[in-house]
Amino acid sequence: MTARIVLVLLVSTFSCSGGSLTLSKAFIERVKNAAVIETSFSVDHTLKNPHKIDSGGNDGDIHAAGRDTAIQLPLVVEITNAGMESQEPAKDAMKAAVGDKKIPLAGIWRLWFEHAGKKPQIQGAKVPKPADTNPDHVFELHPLSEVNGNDCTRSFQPIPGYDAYDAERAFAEEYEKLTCTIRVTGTATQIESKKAGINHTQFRVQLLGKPKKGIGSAVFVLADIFDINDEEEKLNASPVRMVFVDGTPAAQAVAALEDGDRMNLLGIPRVDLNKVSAIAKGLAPNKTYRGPLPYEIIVLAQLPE
Amino acid sequence: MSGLFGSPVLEVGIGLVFVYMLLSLLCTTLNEWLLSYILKLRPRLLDRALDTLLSNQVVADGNLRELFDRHPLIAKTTTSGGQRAGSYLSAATFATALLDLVTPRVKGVISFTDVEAGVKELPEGDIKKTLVALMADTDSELKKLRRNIEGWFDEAMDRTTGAFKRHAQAWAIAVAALLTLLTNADTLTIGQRLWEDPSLRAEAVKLAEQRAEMPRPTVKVEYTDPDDPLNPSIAKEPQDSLTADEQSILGKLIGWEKPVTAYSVGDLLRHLPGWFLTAVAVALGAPFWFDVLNKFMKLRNAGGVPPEGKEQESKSSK
Repeated sequence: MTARIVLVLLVSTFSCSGGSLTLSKAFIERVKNAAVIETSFSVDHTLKNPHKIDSGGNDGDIHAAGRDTAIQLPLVVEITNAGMESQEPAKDAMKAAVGDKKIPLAGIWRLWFEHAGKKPQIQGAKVPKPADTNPDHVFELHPLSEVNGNDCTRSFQPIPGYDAYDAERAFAEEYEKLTCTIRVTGTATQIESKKAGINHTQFRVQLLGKPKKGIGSAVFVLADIFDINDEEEKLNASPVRMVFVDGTPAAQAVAALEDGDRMNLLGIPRVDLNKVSAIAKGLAPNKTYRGPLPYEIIVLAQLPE
Repeated sequence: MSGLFGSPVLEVGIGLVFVYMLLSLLCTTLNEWLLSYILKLRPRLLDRALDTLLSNQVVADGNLRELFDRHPLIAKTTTSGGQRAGSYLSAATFATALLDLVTPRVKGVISFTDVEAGVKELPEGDIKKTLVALMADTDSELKKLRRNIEGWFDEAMDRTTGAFKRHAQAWAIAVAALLTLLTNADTLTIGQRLWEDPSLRAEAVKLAEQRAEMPRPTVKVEYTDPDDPLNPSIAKEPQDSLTADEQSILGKLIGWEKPVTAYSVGDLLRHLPGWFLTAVAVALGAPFWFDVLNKFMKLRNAGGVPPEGKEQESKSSK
């Protein structure tokens, strides 16, 4: 009987454990309303060829892993639609930089607990050289917008032949159910989350307000989410923030819409650090937030009606 | 059921934890009301942070702090009486307004050189020294200077947030003590009532089970203004309020049976240990007691039959 009690208490105590990331508060404040981060990146490994295009992880991206100066965490960077001819210079620049050379990179920051691993990740701690292109990591620049001066924003378009997860599966069954724990110290915020998944998703949004400029090239708009094949059932509990990059086709399309209008999108989720920051500020001292993982969607492309 | 599981002792424990949780929810509501509407603590602390950064600084057109408040970007956040209406100011807005104020002669888009010239013209003082320091290591890039100014503001706001939390914690303890006294929430008396009245205890456990099924009370942040995807605010949730049944059972477990003046000093002193226990417990907060309540419920269910419907649910989910 005693063993049973201990088991019940242990399960209830540790059921929230998973990936753990500690970010500096200053960093969160700097990027929470930004889309793109610029950094200097040492390319330790890169794939020779892009992923094939099918579904799930076969998304046509090309990965590289390395270490950088701005984020200072284990970092994976990805060029989407990497098979496109327009992405050849960026891919070549990435491959040419493998080794000790640092190159300037820019890309949409993405925090997602998909490949967190068991060890807690602490921003600013020494980042070991990764063993391959997919080390334990929670932070990505995905998709990249520039590699060593080569523009990648033409990759922000639908991935031909790719079957993304439908919205019901991605939002209702995954994103909306993810939970996390947030704790704060004087200078840092720690986020723990269970393993997350489901990257590319296709969905329909109904705009709730007008798009608003964030920091740099970021454009944000709040929206409700629907499945492309079911415009009746809303899949989100509260407004979800869409992250666009100014100048991309999807950003130009959303700029022409009014609140209440709908559009089909392809996107990938990331932790909404703007909400994380607000939660951290609202927490009483020594208290812990346990609740839904705040998320937003990086918009990669507008999909046809 | 056997032993501790389902025993009156465990049920009294569940009842007490449940009462602590409900009182903590009331305490949180009272505290938020007090801090937001009476003390207006956040706007006041934001003002204090801005005072620290900008007051007693003079620029060409006058006092920097006053000019800052009158800047069109900032004036929107204050009422006609000059009081701060909002409790939040973004670092980007602060930096934009400040850079605009130190370059009063520039019409249109400002450059790093404009800022450099504007700073040189500033009278000697803290703001000039600060801006000169922030201009170092920027490679003469306005973007980097802006980032440095934002970082300076964020550091000040971090200190403000820390001060707010300390104030809020102190007020939470005071409100918990006040609520305990006003409602005569004496832990020992509550425990005794639950122990002596099996039907009251059963009612408390049933309501505690329902409460444990609700979402955990926690900070919930939402984008409440559809046109503002940059500034989320803390939202109120249904589980942050007491249901009618919960209010009813609280009425049976706590409260004054007669006017306070009708009690003797000795009677009141006998309540002191119970009041103390309640006040300390309530100050721990609703999320804490929600977690404890769930652990008690798991412990109770581990020793007996799961509540009706749960067994069915767990089978069907496999």
